[in-house]
Amino acid sequence: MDEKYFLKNIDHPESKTIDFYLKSGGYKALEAVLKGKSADDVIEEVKKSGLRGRGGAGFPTGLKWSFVPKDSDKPKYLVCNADESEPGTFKDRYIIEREPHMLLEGIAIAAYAINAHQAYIYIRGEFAYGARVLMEAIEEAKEKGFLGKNILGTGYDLDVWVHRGAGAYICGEETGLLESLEGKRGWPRLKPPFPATVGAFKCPTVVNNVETLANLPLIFTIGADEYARIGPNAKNSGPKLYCVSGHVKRPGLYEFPMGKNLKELIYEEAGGIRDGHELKAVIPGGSSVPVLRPEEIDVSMDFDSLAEIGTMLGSAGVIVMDDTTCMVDALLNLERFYAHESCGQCTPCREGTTWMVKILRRIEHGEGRMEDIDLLEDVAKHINFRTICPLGDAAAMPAMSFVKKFRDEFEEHVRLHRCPVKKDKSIKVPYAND
Amino acid sequence: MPTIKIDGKELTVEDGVTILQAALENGIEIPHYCYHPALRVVGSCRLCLVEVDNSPKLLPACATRVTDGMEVRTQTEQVRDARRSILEFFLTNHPLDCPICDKAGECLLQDYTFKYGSAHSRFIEEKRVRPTKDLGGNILLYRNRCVMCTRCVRFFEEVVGEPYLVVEHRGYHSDISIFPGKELTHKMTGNIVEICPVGCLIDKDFLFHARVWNLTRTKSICPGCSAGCNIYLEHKDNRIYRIRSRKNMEVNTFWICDDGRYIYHRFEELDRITQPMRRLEGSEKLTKTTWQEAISMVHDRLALLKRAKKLDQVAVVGSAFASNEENYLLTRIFGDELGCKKFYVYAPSVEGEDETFRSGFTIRADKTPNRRGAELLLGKNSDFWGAIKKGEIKFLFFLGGNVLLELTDQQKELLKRLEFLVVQDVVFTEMARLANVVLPMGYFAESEGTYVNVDGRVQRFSAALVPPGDVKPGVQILLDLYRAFKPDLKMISAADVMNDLAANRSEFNGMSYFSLGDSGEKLR
Repeated sequence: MDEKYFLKNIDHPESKTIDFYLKSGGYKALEAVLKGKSADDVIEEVKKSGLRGRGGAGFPTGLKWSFVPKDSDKPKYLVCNADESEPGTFKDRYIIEREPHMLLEGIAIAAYAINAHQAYIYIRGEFAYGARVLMEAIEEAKEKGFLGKNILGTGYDLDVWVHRGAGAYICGEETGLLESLEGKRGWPRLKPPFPATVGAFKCPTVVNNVETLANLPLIFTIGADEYARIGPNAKNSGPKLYCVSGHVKRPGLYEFPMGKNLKELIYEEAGGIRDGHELKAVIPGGSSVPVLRPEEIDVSMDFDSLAEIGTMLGSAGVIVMDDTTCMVDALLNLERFYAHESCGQCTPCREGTTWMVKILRRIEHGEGRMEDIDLLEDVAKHINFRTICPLGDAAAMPAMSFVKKFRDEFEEHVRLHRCPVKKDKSIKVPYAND
Repeated sequence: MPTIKIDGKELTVEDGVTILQAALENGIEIPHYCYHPALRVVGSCRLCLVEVDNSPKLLPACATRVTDGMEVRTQTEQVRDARRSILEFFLTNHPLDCPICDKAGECLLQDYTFKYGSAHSRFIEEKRVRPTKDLGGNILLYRNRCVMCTRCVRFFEEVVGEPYLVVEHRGYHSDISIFPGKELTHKMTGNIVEICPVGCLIDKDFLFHARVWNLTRTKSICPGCSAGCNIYLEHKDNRIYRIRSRKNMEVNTFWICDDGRYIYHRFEELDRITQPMRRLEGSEKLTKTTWQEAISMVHDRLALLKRAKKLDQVAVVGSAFASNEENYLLTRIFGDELGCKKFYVYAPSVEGEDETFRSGFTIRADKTPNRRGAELLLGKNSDFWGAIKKGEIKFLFFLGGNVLLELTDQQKELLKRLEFLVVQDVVFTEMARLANVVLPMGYFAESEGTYVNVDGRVQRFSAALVPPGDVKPGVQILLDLYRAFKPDLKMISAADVMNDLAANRSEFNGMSYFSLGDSGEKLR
């Protein structure tokens, strides 16, 4: 598929309106689904399409839906996770602000598939504009009969609510999100039970990412088989948004089929590294995934290929760092973020993330000891896999991979008792005063 | 019932229990902080991580339910390594102030670190230091020591049903805090000090008073109300330093109220009677005497009445504050031995309502520990004042036990109409001051015996303290009096009396002092 799907209207500022969306064939997929398919058909078709969660974990979407118990007499909920807060990620924001109806149509299809009559969009608090766009879009869709009571005369009802978060990264974790949605502290829940059986308000719930849901209209427009052919293979299919940030000439949001070559993405599409500089490191999937060295980036950007080389597609937030980046400082910046955003519920993450920050700060400021490097790795190792939610893993993975792949730079800091990197002072890092 | 293996040991356990429950039930220790059997599972301390089957991740034992054939390993290097690291994380900011910490000696962080931790810390940074907060009431929050297990927060939410505490801030800055404008004066508050696994929540009442390892624990029953909560009296040098709850799933589960927790203060600095007293004929004042003389005065007077066939003028008042054994001995001496018929029970009328909390824990409005037992043994008549007024009573034996007893002027006048008043009590009540003979007895912590609680459970309490002066436990006094009538009496202890009671009263049939054990038995 050469044509863009998400970004096809990037040059049309009015793309958020329902009239524009309808002109380009919008809500046809929903109509086809509601009038011609059973909920089970929808789930089967999504399974066949190979669609996997775009929030980071890449869990097969159809499979996730099929875990919702059919015999439960409790109401079911669909929750759209629009709490996009992974550093280096800005794909959902575009969909929310520019293609809200694509998302709403996806929500309606997904809700129909799991027999939900209430759907929530949990949107991060900072997306005030996005929340307004969504609320307007919901009103428009209701007016035209695509949402609300008796949608398109099919007897199917669906209400969609926008719920604004208050700025916590942890509320992007699906169970932390549900707690927050219920009005509680955003503390992730123990799993099992998974949200599919016990979710929002103790009822079966599916939580899907914005981009995941926005794929659904396409699946039901071109068909699952055709959709599965987009991308390298049936398990890694569909169009994909890539967020490229950092020291490239043209940072920004790019759309290609799943499996875009990372090297091509950086050097051809994003214009390559800034003049006079060399590539030093790439984080391919948002700040939580293991970092890659320049020689590792000739890789297909899909779930399985990246997993093979020990990293993850994550949210496809490609963070490019050139030779002005101090890897210790970069890691310090990341770990400060995780320490700040740790919910504090479980011990390894609450205590360990701050400990890592303290160690990194010492190394960066020339007060590190050789054994601190092993200690840092060891602390990360003992956070990883030991916490309730993946925030612990997200904090540990960068630390382990930075030390593993750039150990010499850490050692140089210790040996020289200072940071050896010539940093680009023109770029301001927020909160970099400590 | 699923069969599982923990460390190779095959166990058959209840359906639906967690690995931690199965392990604890079978005497296998898995260290844990946030888990408490009465509270919701949060799985946040991560100390109970264990290896399960082929799971690549360690799983929290507190939150993982057993399935048939499950194999759990709690002692592998991976598990030990995880525990060591979790304890190290806890200790990064925990002060090493055990020498001045009240919790030392019963601190789970101390115990687990000794057992599972590492002898040195790799944390060379400065520790986080926070000021201690007063949460009101008797509670101090030593914030540096907190391990964020949230037991105290969950306790107020789930057991009490009134949230008082909350986790404030986030992550590394998480902090236990109280809602604005609130003060921890709730009657259930003291329990949070007990369930705090570390020395974070501290009771001002006990602060710096004793080291816990120097205290002796004696099993007892709280005499504060008719609930009959099981307690430990913790004492040293013949003084109680604190009261703690004692688990009894049939009665108080894990909790006691603060009325009971601090009830021992009620018996401190009392106007104790330390010697038997008697009033000389026509005198205003009571004078000290010996046990021998006091007992024979009572005996002789009764013998005289018996000879004069005036035993119908004798009345006996048992007490809802006294044990079954004491009340029962009254029926033995005055009923079986002498043939008296007038038995009453002293029990103040119940005021107010029972207080029940979310978990079902109830503080009873009836502030007597043994109304049910006393009424069972002596009948429900409590109107001895009316009988005195009618002139039907000339001799009164009054068994007290209520240190808060007060008389109205009218009642004092009525007592003057008696020819002979014997008072067996703990303190110089107004009643005792008007007696002809005063028999000083020990209070509940100085005696042993049984109470029947509001639900009809017979429960045993033991003596922790030696009574002051010549004071004797009530049962001993009554046994002495009994012996004065029946020199060949075989019973010499509360246990003997209980066994005699069990043999003669159908409600107690089949019980014995020892079979009651620590958790008691229901009345038949």
